[in-house]
Amino acid sequence: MNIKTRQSIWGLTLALGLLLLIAAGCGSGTEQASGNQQANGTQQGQGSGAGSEPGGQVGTDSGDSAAGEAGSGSGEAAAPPSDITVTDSDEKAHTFAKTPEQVVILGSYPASMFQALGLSDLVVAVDDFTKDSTAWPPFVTSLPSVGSSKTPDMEQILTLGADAVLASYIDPDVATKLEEAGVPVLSIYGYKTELIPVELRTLGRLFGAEERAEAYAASIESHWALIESRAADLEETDKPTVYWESSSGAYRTFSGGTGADPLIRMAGGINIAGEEPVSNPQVSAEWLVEKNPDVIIKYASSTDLGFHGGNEANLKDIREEIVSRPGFDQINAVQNGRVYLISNKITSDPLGPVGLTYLAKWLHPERYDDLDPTALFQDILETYYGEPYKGEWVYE
Amino acid sequence: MTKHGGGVQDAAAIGELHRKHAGRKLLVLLVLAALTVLAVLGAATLGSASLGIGDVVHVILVKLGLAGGSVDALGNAIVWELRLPRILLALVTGLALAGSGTVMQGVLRNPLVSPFTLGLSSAAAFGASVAIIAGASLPGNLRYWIIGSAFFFGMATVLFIYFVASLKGSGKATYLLSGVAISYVFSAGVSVMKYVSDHEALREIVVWLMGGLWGASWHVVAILLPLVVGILLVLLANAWNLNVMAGGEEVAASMGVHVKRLRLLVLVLATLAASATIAFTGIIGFIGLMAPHICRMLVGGDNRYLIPCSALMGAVLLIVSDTIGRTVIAPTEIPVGIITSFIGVPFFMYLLIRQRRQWWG
Repeated sequence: MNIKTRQSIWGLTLALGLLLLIAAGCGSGTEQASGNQQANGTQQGQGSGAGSEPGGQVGTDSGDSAAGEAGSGSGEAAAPPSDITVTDSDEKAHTFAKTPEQVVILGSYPASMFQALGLSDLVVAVDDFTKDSTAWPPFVTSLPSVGSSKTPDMEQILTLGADAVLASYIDPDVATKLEEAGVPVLSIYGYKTELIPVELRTLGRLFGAEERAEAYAASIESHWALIESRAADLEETDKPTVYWESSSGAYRTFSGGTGADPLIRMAGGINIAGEEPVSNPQVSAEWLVEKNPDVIIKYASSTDLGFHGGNEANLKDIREEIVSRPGFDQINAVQNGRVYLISNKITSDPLGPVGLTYLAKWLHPERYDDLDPTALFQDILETYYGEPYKGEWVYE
Repeated sequence: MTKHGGGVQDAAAIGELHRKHAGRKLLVLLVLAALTVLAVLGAATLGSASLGIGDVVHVILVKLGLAGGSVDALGNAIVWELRLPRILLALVTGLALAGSGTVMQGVLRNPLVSPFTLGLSSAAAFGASVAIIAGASLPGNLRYWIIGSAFFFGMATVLFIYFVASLKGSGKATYLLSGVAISYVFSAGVSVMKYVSDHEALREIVVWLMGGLWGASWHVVAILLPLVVGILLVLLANAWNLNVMAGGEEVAASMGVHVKRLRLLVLVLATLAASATIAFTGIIGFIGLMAPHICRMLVGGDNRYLIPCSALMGAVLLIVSDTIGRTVIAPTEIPVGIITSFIGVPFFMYLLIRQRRQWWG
């Protein structure tokens, strides 16, 4: 009895001590963050030269880059706006007293949006996957990493003085803790096709790059409209059926509400898994054979297709594996050689119009004959990203 | 020395039990064999594609040369290319996992032993992860690298555990403790891999760890079926020696059984069967541990009945589970491990509560 009591007292004391420590850590982190914010605010307001603090540099550079690259929006960035309220992609409202100036980005899709909006200088850190594996957009490679995108290093985020975290995919508990420590966490997916223009505009509004965001979002929407308009008069029976497979395993596909599904619809096709209740269903092989898709599309990983070029041998193997699956010789797509590989960087991404163009040409070659995905890609990269076109993106 | 005496009594009791209930045990075995055939045929008629029973039977009869006429290409693809290989893969995986679980429990005289508790599963998972991560840099088809690597690590682990046990003296606890310890090392290894790998490879590891039978093809069945059936026959041929060993190692040695040699042989064969199937299906738990226990409650401890009974029980459980998994919310498939747990555990608990005899003192 005594021992037990003593043990529980010890346990309680330990737990209390830990709690105190955590509270202290959070407190100091918050102070530091807000301290940096203030420093930034002043420097940015004056528009003065580089400060020795990293925060100072970030604040100043952001103004420059917005002015230099976008040719607009610098006024908005410099003028201290009153409260800005934005709604993130989880329908959560966030109110900022002023524009965040030191941002941690978790996920390559929101990072890509930042470069497109000319805001890359605001980013103080990214996650491991974005930095090392996708290495896109290019500015991320020189930034520190805060670890995994799902469970980032909270202490490091606080130490960096981040005043906002943009996350494509973060553990909800980690997000809650960060918010409690005074760092708002905005959910910006960047890969859900229909949300992309919305998210661009949200970022534009919050970070004072509204014109550029509007321009990019509108160009994406007008490209969607162009592709859709040419498929508008198709009868249901003239629409090819499409099976789109994930890179993460055989028979794993995408249903409605995912990145791939709206693209198929826009390009005048029918997603055979569009009505499935699970968003990433593992479907049965016999169902697939019976559905008999006209076109099969498979995501290739960033090591096989992307800015670093294509791995011809791997791509060939991947396609070979698909066409040689049992029973697949009965499928139209296999019989007619309509099995394609594509990078997910140009589909469910702000770069999505490029992938959509490839898709449209695969589904209805005669209707989209005049469109050139490579030229479009080149144009988007030069106009918004300031990057040259390179790499390989599809395997046809 | 009480153990020694107890062993003799057990052996005598088993012999007595055998004479008394041989008929009943044979009946159980026959019922299970019939159930297995029924499960195969029933599963062949069920699926997400809209084929009638008549179509299915027609395809099978024609393909087996038992009926004339022709089959349409779609029916052939669905029944002959997709359903049957998958059902047979479930069959052979069930046979292998349950069969090896049974003999491992017997030879190590421990109810908690299975291909998984010995560390084989974590080792195979680790091996598969290594191949998945190394992925792009490996020549040839990645699938074979995954299989080979899983097999290599599984086998190495069991041999290593056997080596440790032979150094330490073959105490009951030594196997299990080293198995548990090794599991932890390899689990940690898999966690590290999951942590450092990029998202895409990570997903593939997760899929593989969940286990499933969608990799089935005649090619796979043709590799596994002879291997597994052959191994089960060899184990069955040693069933009497295993029975003797169940009475205690001293007794077995005194009766001319080479305990160490037998144990090594059984372990290597069981590992071979288990890791060969795991390499094609990913990790499917539960069957290897539970099927032997269920059968021990049904037919007792005589390995001549227990081994085939467990193997068939494993096969039936896995075929039924996989058929449910691929039809219940078709065309979306549910991983077979989820279903085996949902249907197997209640059945197992029922038998556990009902059973009168304690097989493991």
